[in-house]
This record gives sequence, structure tokens and C-alpha cells, in this order.
Amino acid sequence: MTAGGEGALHRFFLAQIDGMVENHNNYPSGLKEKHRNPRQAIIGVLLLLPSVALVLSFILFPVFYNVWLGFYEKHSFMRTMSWVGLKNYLFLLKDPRFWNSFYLAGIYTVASTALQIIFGISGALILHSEFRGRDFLRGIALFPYMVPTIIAIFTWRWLMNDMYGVIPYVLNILHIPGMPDAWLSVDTIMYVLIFLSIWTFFPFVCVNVLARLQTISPRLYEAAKVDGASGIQQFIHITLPELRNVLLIVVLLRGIWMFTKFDVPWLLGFGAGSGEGIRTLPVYTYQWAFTFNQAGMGAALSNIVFVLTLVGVTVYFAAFPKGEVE
Amino acid sequence: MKTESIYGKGMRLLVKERKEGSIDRRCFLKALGGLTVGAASLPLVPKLARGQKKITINMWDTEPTPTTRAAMKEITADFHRLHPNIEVISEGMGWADMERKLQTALAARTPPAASHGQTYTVTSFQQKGIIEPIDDMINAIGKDRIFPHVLRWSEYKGRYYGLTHSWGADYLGGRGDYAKEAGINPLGWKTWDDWLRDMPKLNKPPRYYGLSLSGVPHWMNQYLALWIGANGGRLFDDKGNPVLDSPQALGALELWRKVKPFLPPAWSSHDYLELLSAFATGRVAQVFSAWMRAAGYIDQYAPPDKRNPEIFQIWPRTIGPMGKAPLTQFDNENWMVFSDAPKEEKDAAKEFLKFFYKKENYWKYCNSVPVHLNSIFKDDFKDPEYLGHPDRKRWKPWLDYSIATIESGRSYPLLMCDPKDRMIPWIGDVGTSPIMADMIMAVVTKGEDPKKAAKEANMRITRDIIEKWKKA
Repeated sequence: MTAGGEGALHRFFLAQIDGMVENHNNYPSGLKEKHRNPRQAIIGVLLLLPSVALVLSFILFPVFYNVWLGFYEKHSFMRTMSWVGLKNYLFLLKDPRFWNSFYLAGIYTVASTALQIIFGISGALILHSEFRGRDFLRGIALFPYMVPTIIAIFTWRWLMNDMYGVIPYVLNILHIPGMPDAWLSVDTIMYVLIFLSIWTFFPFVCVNVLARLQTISPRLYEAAKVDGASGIQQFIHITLPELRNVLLIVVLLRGIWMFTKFDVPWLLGFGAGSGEGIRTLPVYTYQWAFTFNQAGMGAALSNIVFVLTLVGVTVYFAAFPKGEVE
Repeated sequence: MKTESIYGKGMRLLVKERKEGSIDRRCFLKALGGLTVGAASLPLVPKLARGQKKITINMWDTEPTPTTRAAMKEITADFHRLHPNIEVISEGMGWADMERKLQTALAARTPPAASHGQTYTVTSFQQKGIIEPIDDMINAIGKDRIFPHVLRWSEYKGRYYGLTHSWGADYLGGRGDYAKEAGINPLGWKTWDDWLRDMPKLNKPPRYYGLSLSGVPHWMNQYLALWIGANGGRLFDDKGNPVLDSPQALGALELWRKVKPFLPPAWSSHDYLELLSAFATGRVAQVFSAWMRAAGYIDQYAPPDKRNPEIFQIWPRTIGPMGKAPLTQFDNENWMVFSDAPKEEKDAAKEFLKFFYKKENYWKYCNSVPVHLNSIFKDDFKDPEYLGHPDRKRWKPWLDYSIATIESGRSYPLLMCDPKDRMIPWIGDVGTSPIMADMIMAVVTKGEDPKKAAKEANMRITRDIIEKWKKA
């Protein structure tokens, strides 16, 4: 579908929504009253009950159970548990390994999110411009995001392997100065983790940004051109402000997902050996719960991760308030 | 009502065919008799079905190899034919997956009827009453027929809590062709010094590296245990306290430092199967702890003319300055029966295991990975049919080595440096945790003082595992 076609589709949906709102506002007053009929309200509540029960069972119960478990000392295999209050939390806050994991999680989150945004916007701008084969490229842009994590990671593990990996082999042939002997050693594995995460997740940014780019009015660019604005000036003064709201959400989501990302760092490093270099907070949490077999400590640590994420989101919203939607 | 209608319909058809002459008088009478008996017995069918309650049991094992899965599928199907009221759901998974899955099942109090478990798991579970004795089953299978070295690890105060599904021994795998090229004779090695002396000659990077070790914590912990054991030491004292700062343990850490220059640069990122591939494809001269499973990798990835035990040799494990004999790991995951499972499921699981260990079934299982899944029955190793399997014949030196290790008595289950270690219930928690791996990385890659790193590891094991375990 062409950009013009997609724009038409967008306008069609907007018209539909406008129509629905208008229809609702035009309801006869009697019909509105009927909606407030107590009998119907009770039926409505009853119909909602199964969904509420599901939400309580599968979302809220595990959350509260985890909070409760964090106050206990519990071996993962055993039935018994003992109340320890805030001991788990106090222990973790004094644990240098916790702070190291927090630091590593911070590095990973900031670096991988920032680079995903840069590559995602760049990719979207390329895919938004007119060129031959664009539709094909748009089709495959999502490919890294669709590859199952385990396949992506093991493929990259092979590609970066120090004994038979293609990438170290090529880099060695090229004699690029400053290249390390091994990419998956404890000192360098963080670079691989960040690179792998960019490769896997930048299409998410790309697709979201592309969707917004396609709805920016071309008249804005035409007016800027008439005023003599260069391409860079158009990007800074039109494109970026127009992308602001999309980017606010995308950065937030990617930031949260990277901070709580477990599968990629775990499968890349197994939590120790070289993996010690990418023992982020989710990995450390898993280790407490499933390798030390201390379920209470694991729960406490995951609660801390949850609180840290909440704090991060609050600060983020305070620093970048959502702008007016035009 | 339904019976009458089927009977009536059958009768009408029979009479019609007789009238038309399609069947003779004898056939008619036979069919009539059969139809009558069948109709008369139909009302009994629901009663019989009610008498045979259907039992479904989950059996989890640690052998996910496709050929083993196929064998298990066949065995469970044969068992189901004999016991139509018992359905066995057999599931194979990797070690780590099994431990996580068991953890969840035990927390939910819905364990499988039976599962595999390492020796340390059997110790830990039997002390907490999670599994129950299976002496009756072992006696029914034939206790006297089983290798005593197999049985000794699952016996607690005269009762057996586990039975090994099949056994194996790890080994130092070495490339015979590389040794020849280097002009060395590894078969003469006795001490760590002998080993270290020849190591540079086996190291020709980037063509191949001298030695390979895995960086997965579980494996790092095992190497350390093997080296400490070969240096005359232990991971734990008699009371189960960690003694990683003992001279024997510090000597093992020192050895790790000394072999590091001969390891691939990213050795600490390699997983176990990567080691086997590297060994099979000639990228490493030695793999420190290989299992017989390596034969499959060699048959798959090595050049056809090199797929033999003359090229892929078993070299002697060496001893440290304080050691008297090298140590080998004994691979013996046990079948365990869970106390919390309903009684009829436990009985059904034992019935299935009795069936599983019958020669005609068990050999199917062992033959699914012939030089890796060794039979637990002594007599099988004298049976020409068992030994005559083409893979066992081809890898006979490896098989002979395996037998020699269990006869030597210096082949202990994972992470055990002394038979007494078997009674330490938290050994598995220490083995899966990254504490010892962190200590090794601190010493080997960050250059920390071994004594300081060992003391910290002792402290962490005591504080984060033992003290908590005692309270559980």
C-alpha cells in the first residue's frame, strides 16, 4: 500500500470515529435514560464478573502473592517458610552484587534503548522515502523482531564465537585496530548484548515511527520548503516535534522492557562465567529464586525491580510531560 | 435398549443372508452363537470399566535425545497394551529444565509420580520426606543383578530412595593425532605438572587450542570439584561446611590460572555442547570433562576418516601435588518416586519402572544412545548381544574406560569429592548457584587473591545457602 493509500485509510477511520461520537451525542434522551436502568446495570455487572475474576486471579493475585512472599524466607523446593519482615530487602540493599546488577541493568537499558531509538528512527525515515524495493524492505524490516529469542541468541552466539564465528573471523582479516580477542568474554559480552538487543528490537521503534511519519501532513514540509528550510531543518523543526508523542511512548515501553529483560541476557551468558558481565537485575532475581532456590529473596528482588521501574516511569513522565495532541 | 436394537439388527441381517444363501448353515449357526453371547455380555462392559479405574501418571526424565524419546514412546505404548488402565505420560527434558519444573510442581504440591534426579537431589529430597523408599521395586527388578557402585549412591540408612536409569563416567578427551604431531605421549601423564608441561605443545591457536572448559556455572563448579578431589581435598568438611580456602582447593584454583593461557579466549562463554562440537571439529586438543555423548558429535561432525577412538582418545586424568588419585564423575540420575503423588499413581509408576527395566525394554532405551546410556545390570556387560551393538564395538576403548572407572571406586556423583559428601543436603543448591563460578572468575580473569576469593565464597555459601537451608 502506498503512503497516499495509507493516509486515505487513516482519514477513513477518523471519519468513522467522528461518526460514532456524533451518533452517540444524538441519542434521544430517553435512550440515554434507558442505559441507566438498574436491572440492566446489574446484568452488566454480572456479565463483567467473569472478566474481573480472571483479572484478579491471573494478574492481581500473583502480584500480591509476590509482595507477600518477599517478607518470608522460603526454600523453593520446601513447603515451610518463615516470616522475616524486611530482612530480605535490607540484605539486598547492602549487597554489592545487587548494586552491580542495578548498574549493569542501567547501562543495558540506557544504551540499548537509545540506540534502538536512533536506528529505529533512521530506519523509519529510510522506509518513508520513495525508492525502488521499498515495499519489500518494509516487509522484511520486522524480521528480527519476529525471530524467536532463543534462535536469535544462539545464532548470534555462533556468529560471535571465538573459535568458529564468522564475525570475529572477518574482523580479524580486516585487521581493525582495537578489536578484542573475543567478543563473548566477561569484559566484552555487554557490547554483544546491546548490539543483539538493538538488532532484535529496533524494528518495533521503526514500525511505530513509520506509522506516525505517514500521517504528518505533507503541507508542513511544502511550507517549510517555500521558506527555504533544509532537510535537516525540516527534520528538527517538523519531523521530530511531530514524532514527539510517539517517541515518548516508544521510549517508555522500550525502556521498561529492556530494564526487565531476562531472556536475552540469560540465554547469552547463563548468569555466570562470561555471563557475570551481563548479570542484570532480572538475571540476578532469577538466580536467587531458581539457582540459590531462595524464593523469598527472589520475590523481594523482583518487588524492588518493580518499584524501581515505577520510580523510573514517574520520573520520566515528570521530565517529559505528554504534549497536546493536535 | 441399545443392546436389543443392535442384536435385532444383527439377527435380521443374518437371517436375510441365510435366506439369500450368502452364508451356509454352519456359518449361520456360528454367527448366531457369537451374536447371542456378545449381546448377553454387553451389559457387563460398563461394570468392568468401572472396576478398572483409569490412572494417568507423569514420568519426567532427563534424556531429551530424539532417539531416546522414540524408545520411551515405544516402551510406554507396550506398557499401555499390557495395562490398559494405566497411561504413562513420559516427558524428557534437560537437567536445568527438570529442576525448574520440579520446583514449580513441588511448590504446587502436584509432583509427577516419578522423575529423574541427581544424587544430591535424592539426598536433599529424602531428608525432607519428598520422595519415598523404593526397595520393593528394586528387589523385584533384581537388586543382585545391579552394579553395587550404582546402588551405593541411593542408599540411606539401609533403604533405597532412587534407582539409576543408566550410568556413565566423564573423561579427559584428547586428540590422538594432535599428540602425535606434538610428539608427546599423554598416556604417560600422572601429575598436573606432567599435564602442564605438555600443554603448550597441544596449543596451536588459532588452528586449535590446548584445552576447553565450559563457562556455564554448573560445569565450572564440577571442574573445580574434580580438581580439588584430584588434589586430595573436598568442597565441604564432614559437617557440610565449605572449605574452599583449604590448600587443596587453593591449589585447584592455581591450576585453573595455569591452564588459562591454553583455553580459547572466550572459554567462559562456552556451553557444554559447544565444547563437544569444538572437540569433534578439531578446534580444541582436549576437552576436560566429556561424556560418552561426545561419540554422537564425533560421528556427526568429525571428518569421516577420523571418527574413531584412535583419533578421539581418552587421556588419563592427573593428580595435584597433594592428591593420591584422580577423580571421575559418575553420571547416575535416579528415578525417584514422590511421596505427595496419589498412592495408585505411585504404584503405577513402580509397575512401569519394573516393566522399563525388563531386558527387552531396557535395551531399547540403552541402545538409543549406545555408548552413553550404560546398562545398570552387570551381566549385560558380558552379553555378546549387548556388547555387539556396532557403536559399542566401535567405541570399545571408551566403554572399557567406563567400566574401569566404576571398578576403581574413584568415580563419584556430581560435585562430590568424597563418598561422605553424599549426605550433605545442600550440595545441589551450591552446585546450581553461581558462587563458586564467581570465585573462579575473580581469581582466573580478574587476578584476585585466591585466598580472599575463597573466603568470600565460603561466606556466601554459608550465609546464602546453608543457613537458609537449615531453617527450611
